Amino acid sequence: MLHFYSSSNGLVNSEKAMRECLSAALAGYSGDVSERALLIVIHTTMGHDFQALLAAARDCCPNAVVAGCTCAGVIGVEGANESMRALGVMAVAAEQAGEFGIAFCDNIRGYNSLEKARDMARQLKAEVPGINMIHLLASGIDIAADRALEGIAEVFGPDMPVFGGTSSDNMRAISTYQFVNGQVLERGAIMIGYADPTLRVSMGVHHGSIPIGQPFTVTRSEANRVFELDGRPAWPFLMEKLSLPENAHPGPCIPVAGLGELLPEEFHEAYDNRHILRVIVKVDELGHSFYMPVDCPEGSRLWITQRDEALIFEGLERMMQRLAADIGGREAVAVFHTDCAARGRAMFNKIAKDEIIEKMQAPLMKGRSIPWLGMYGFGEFTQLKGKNFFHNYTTSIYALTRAPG
Amino acid sequence: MKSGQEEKKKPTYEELEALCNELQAHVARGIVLQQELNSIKDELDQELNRFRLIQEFGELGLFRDSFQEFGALAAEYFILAFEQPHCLLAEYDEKAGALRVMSVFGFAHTAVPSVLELSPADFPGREGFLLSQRPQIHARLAALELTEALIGPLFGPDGAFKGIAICGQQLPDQRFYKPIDAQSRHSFTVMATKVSYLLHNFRINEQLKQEIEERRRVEKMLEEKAAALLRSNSELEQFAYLVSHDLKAPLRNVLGFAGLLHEKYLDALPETGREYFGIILREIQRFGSVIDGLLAYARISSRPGEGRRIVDFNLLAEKVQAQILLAIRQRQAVIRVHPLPCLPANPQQMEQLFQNLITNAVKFTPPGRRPVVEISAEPTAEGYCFAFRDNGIGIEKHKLDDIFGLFQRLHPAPQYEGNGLGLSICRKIVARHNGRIWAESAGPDRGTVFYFTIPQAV
Repeated sequence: MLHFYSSSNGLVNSEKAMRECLSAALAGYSGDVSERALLIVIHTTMGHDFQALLAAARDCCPNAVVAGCTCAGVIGVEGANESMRALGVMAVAAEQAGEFGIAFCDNIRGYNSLEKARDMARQLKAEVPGINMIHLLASGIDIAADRALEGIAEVFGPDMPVFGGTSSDNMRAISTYQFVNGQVLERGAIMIGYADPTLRVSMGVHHGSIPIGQPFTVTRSEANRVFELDGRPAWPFLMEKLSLPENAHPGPCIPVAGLGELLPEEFHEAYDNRHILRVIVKVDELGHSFYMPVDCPEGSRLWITQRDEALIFEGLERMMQRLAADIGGREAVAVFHTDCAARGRAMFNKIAKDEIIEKMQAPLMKGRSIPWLGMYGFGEFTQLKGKNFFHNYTTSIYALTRAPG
Repeated sequence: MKSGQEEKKKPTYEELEALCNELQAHVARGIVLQQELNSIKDELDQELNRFRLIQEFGELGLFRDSFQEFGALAAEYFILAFEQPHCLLAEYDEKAGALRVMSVFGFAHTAVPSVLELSPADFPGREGFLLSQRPQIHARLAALELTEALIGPLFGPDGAFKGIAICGQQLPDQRFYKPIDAQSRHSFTVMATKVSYLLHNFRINEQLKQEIEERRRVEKMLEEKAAALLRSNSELEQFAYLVSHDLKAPLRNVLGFAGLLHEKYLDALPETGREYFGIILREIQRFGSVIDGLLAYARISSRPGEGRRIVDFNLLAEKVQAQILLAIRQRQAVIRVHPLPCLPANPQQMEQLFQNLITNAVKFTPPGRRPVVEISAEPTAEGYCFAFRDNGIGIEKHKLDDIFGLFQRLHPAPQYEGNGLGLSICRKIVARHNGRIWAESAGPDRGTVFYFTIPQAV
């Protein structure tokens, strides 16, 4: 059986931040921290010294497995922190060996996402039998996330719940990092398999955007790279439509350049929306084509979208109601959470942001304090009606629940 | 059937598409404007957050135990508030004229010098600035390898230059930190001012602490010295007592045999021998007197407050006059006693004090002059101040301080007899009562006034 402990802080000294974070998180843990059956999931913003963080984690818990990634902000029980030095951890303690496992790869790109994910899944399945959910943390720059999900499905089948997200930086869309034990990867992916039959994951996902005007048609593309929209170089065309300079870097455009794609009708109700959103975080060197986080075949129709504040708040409440219905009488024992980096301070002021987080935490916590680790990333892995999807611009929460008693 | 007007209103597909495109363009512009608005809101949030952090630092900075802790906290709050990877604080050492580095953050791979090659003259104003705006300062801080930084001079509430705060980046790497915004220099100035005021207070507190510690150390040292002195005095007194006491016995024998010699063999001596014998006897008596004086001196208790009770000094004066009545009558001295107080004191020692002072006054009045001694007392801040005024031979001013020393005699023995211990005993008695004694005289043959104080409380 797995047990969860979390904490977050905004201390600027990286070593001290990790030590205090782990100390606070593990205050309620009665076991030996030097045990091997301990997993530490880390989310940190870009200002921290990553090596110092990992060294401190290793020093505090010498035999623990350490996994994590960078993000634009950390969300914990303590609230959201988008400063340059924010840190959050979730410590997962197993009662016995084989209750979790980890696989990772480096250099995952759009063209090899399926193969890399499939290889990791195979390795994980061989190492830990009985995995009943997968926590995926991957590079956020040019992965084809839908292909990665296909790779996992080839090994574990389409029903294996996958949750998590892609790493981000401070909204610059330059480099994101992943951590595995002592290593810092720049284009890596980490797959954590949890094998605890008492646990179930309930997921909630929502975005509050609506499509505007006529869609553009992808007239030339290759896998997740879009060369042309409506017969014109894709990136300058999109920038023109958004009244932005055609040589703009994608980073600053993230909050406004989200594109909508029509979802199959069977998911409309579960998604509370007809369109799934896509973020662009990479443009080719010439500034003509851009990379989508999923495959984008020719003929795909893409809409410019606009945030609707009322839809964001009302939709959030509906999402929590759906999630509560899914959890039923089970008890939430821990929550992982991925929010789009654009839904942080780039979009909301502190009051609105705190309100959004409170609307998610309060119904699940019900007056208790449940271990909670969230990040503002570039993308979110969340199921819709039992099918794994990759999303952007959403808030996605993953409540790990257990039958009472 | 539709009217012609209605038909005119129905747009074509192309018109609808154009309208749709126009709407899309409007919305797109709206989205961008919304985003700009959000950026402004974010900047405001950031600025508010900075001021919250500055305030928080102000509260926490007050309660640091050590200077190192204070420096580390200040550096961390600069990093938090301005989201830069490197921070350095330097304090100006006015005595050495050096700008010493007091705290650094994030310079892990840089050899930071302990003293910066800058002086107060490089910072004529309080306003913060960008490093790139001052190439000369940039050049002198080359060792820090900063490409850009915010710099805030630290000026204390007294207007004195206290040091500088630097917060910036070595590599303009936007992956890990934001570019430095020139507008931030205003809030940087605010933070630098907060740091300088706290630094000023910290240094004053530290100075006070040091002074208190130094005072405590000196007090302790004085206490130890006083205790050692007390021990030494006590041992000396014991020694003096033992020596005097042990000298008395052989002296008594010498005196006894000298008496026998005087009775039985004086007539057998020639005139010169009798004269010599007389001298021997007088010297033996004087020696006895000296030993008595030393014994009296040693017997004075070294513990203040010992044997004290309320003494009526009027009665005491009468008693002493009775004791020395013979000497008073011989010189036909007049002793005038003004009303005297009742005070806590050692009665035996006060008796000795009065006796010594009255005897002295009578003794040191030139032959042929009738001694007149006036005794009075007045309340003062130090307690009661007693005065013994005489019309005697007076004392030269430069000798007034010497007269209380052991064996100090201002006049040769044949003229005014004495053992040279009387006033030393007086000084010791008064000191044991936490008082002080001194003499005043207008000069030779113009009389002397002896003053001493006795506190009203034990």
